[in-house]
Amino acid sequence: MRRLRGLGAVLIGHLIAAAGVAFAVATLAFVAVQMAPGDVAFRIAEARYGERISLQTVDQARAATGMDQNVLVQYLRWIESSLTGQLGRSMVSGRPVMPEVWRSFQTTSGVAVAGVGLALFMSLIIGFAAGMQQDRILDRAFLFASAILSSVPSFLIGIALITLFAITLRWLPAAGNNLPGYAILPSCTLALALLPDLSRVARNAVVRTLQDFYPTYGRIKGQSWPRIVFGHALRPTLVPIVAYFGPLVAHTIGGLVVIDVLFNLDGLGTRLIDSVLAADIPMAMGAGLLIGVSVVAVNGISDIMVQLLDPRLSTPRLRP
Amino acid sequence: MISRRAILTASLALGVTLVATGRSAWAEDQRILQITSPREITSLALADTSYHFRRLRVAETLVTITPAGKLAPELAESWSVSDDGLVWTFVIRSGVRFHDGTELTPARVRDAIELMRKSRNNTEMVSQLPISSVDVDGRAVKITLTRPFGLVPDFFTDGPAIILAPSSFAADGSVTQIIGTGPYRVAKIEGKTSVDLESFPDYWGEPARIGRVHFTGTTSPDTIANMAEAGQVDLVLGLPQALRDRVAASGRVRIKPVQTARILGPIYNAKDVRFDDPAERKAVSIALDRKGIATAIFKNPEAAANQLFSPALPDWHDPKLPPIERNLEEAKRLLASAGWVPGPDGVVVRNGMRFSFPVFVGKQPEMAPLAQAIQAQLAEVGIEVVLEKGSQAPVLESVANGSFVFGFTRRNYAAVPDPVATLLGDYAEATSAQAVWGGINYHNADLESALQRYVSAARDEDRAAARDELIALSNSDLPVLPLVWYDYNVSISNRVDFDSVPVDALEVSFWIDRVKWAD
Repeated sequence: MRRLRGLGAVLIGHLIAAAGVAFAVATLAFVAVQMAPGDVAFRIAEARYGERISLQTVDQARAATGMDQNVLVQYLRWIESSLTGQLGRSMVSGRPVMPEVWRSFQTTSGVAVAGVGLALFMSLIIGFAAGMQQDRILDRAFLFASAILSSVPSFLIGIALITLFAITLRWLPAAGNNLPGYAILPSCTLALALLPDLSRVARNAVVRTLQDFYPTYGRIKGQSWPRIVFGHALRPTLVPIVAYFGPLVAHTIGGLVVIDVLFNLDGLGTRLIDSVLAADIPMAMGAGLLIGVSVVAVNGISDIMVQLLDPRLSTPRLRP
Repeated sequence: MISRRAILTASLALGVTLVATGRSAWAEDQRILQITSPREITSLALADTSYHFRRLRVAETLVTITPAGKLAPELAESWSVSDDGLVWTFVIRSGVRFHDGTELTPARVRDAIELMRKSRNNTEMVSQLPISSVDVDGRAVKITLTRPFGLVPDFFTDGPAIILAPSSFAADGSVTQIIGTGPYRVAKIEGKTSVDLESFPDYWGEPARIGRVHFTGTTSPDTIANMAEAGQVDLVLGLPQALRDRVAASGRVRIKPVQTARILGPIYNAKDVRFDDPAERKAVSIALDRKGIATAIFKNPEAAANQLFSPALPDWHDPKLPPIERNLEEAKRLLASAGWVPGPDGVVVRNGMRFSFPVFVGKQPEMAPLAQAIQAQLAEVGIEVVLEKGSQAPVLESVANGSFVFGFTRRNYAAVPDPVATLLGDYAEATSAQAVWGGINYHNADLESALQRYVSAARDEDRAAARDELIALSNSDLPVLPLVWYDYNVSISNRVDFDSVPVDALEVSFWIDRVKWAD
């Protein structure tokens, strides 16, 4: 009961944080649009009409989107509509923002979940293999490879995967999201970009866990290494890895923008960047809102999972 | 506790799923024509993506243009004009159905034209016609003009002149869905990059040869090249010129290029002190190495332009005009004659003012190397070009605030088949104040007069005389400095019958309904 109460408090805390972060990120998106150089009406008209932009279309865009109004009025109008659950309409496409950003969120979350899942799975295998061989050749080889891979930008990883699996072997689509299997290369790119950091966390966690008393106790009892690893060491090893998910998500969002562009995915990253560049304020704020909520949600899930993995963290400490 | 068996099973399942979904991608979708072009579906507004849905053969216009560049009937089976040139009669084709099953009627065409007339967008052609009334007369729609205007059928080939079903529009007149009459109908639009098409069984003309098409809008040139090289797409419609050799070298696709009526060249502010003297303009023009730029950047020496109108417009192109050769000594002499003398840092100066200006460089793959080449070539005659990143919006903004000096245009003189439609927008007195992409503050009364004579000419001889004058004036004044003519490149995969793919020099349609599978 006490544990459930602890989890409930965590949940409520994160819900309050989610609301705050979401509005902060959306407001930052609004500020970013306003701060970008140039008259926003020209940027909207260019995004809307492409090479058919003219001085007349700029005037039309200005009048149609309310950009001739005061900046504060524009912001307050958006706050008002978002409080009623409406994020407004895109200034570029004229379509409602919510279904657009939701579709992008689905694309992004599909790639992110698969990429992070794959990175987690691989990092556990690598982390255990290296951690159990601490300071031996396998461990040193891992640390060396990890340092190399972490210095490679994610777009180069993506280009290498496209060249090998799409252009040379022709096993997988190079870009787009209409063919089955489209998410494999973007997910693998993300996974490989996350792998060095995540597997180092896993390797260090394994090293620390194996230095604890219970693996030794297990060996004294005559248990096999697999039994010690999967039966006892896996769970405490997962705690720092899951706790690392917070900063990992922030890292992932930056990487997803690159992946969206490289693989021509209509994801949340390109949605935010394109809308800021096009001065599409409702779309930028909607995308920012969803990104903010996602970050807080993953942090919350991570906190709850840590407490589930290690119940001591949700139990009040005894005072001396 | 997580069991070993669970981990092993999960790993195996993950691996099998990844491989299976990847492999099945090609097996299941082999018979869908996969096409891509560097254009996204940003909105459904007529001024925006109507051009695109016409290219995709979803929507149609009263009059169309054949791949050979000639006017041809589409939703109007014929047209004629009264002797006084004031009443145009378009006979509407019978038996045409929209994709929602409703019938195309003359009344619907009249309502659509009335909607086009209301547009206040100067990039839409029909709204610029001098129409006084539109009436239905049996199967015909009669358009009465306030003054004779010879280009009415041409203007009805414009993208925003597509005729959509009433169900395409919301109560406020905005387009919510594309319900056209073409051989393909929209099955699904997903975001701005993905459109699924299926053949329309009740199409009035020859049915599409391939039943299903998927369109992917891709703005990144490298991604387009990757998709072509990977064999993921059957047709890349508008492969960027700078990537043509790279894609062709893969050996998995064949490229069909055609020279378009689109020119790439510098535009300038004719009222700016650096360009208000024809000698200054000519100096800049002959300081540029067109052949070198066309060969090195556009991989096609034939792309070097010596006039506004490319060979894609045979009635307007002057094949006898000599190439504009680079002549640095003459360029320096012309600058000196205009009062520009070398300054201490090599940049020419006049009355303490350096001949220096900023240029915005767009994100198209050819623009950065082109701008750098021009910067280096003009530096040789003492002109300093400062490169800044930026696309069309900052150029237009600088025009609006009066700071524009020099920029680039990618002008298509075949937005409708007759280039006079574009010239009217750029140089006719009534519209030139709003025009940008044909040059800023350029006025020539003789050119304006020739334009008016051309559009109001009743006889072919009068029109031909006005055309000759327009060609001569545009080639001598050079309101746009011709640099290169663009090629339109289509990359065609081995799955598609190469000869069945029409390539349209005027960029009106992809003609995908005529494409056949190779087998």
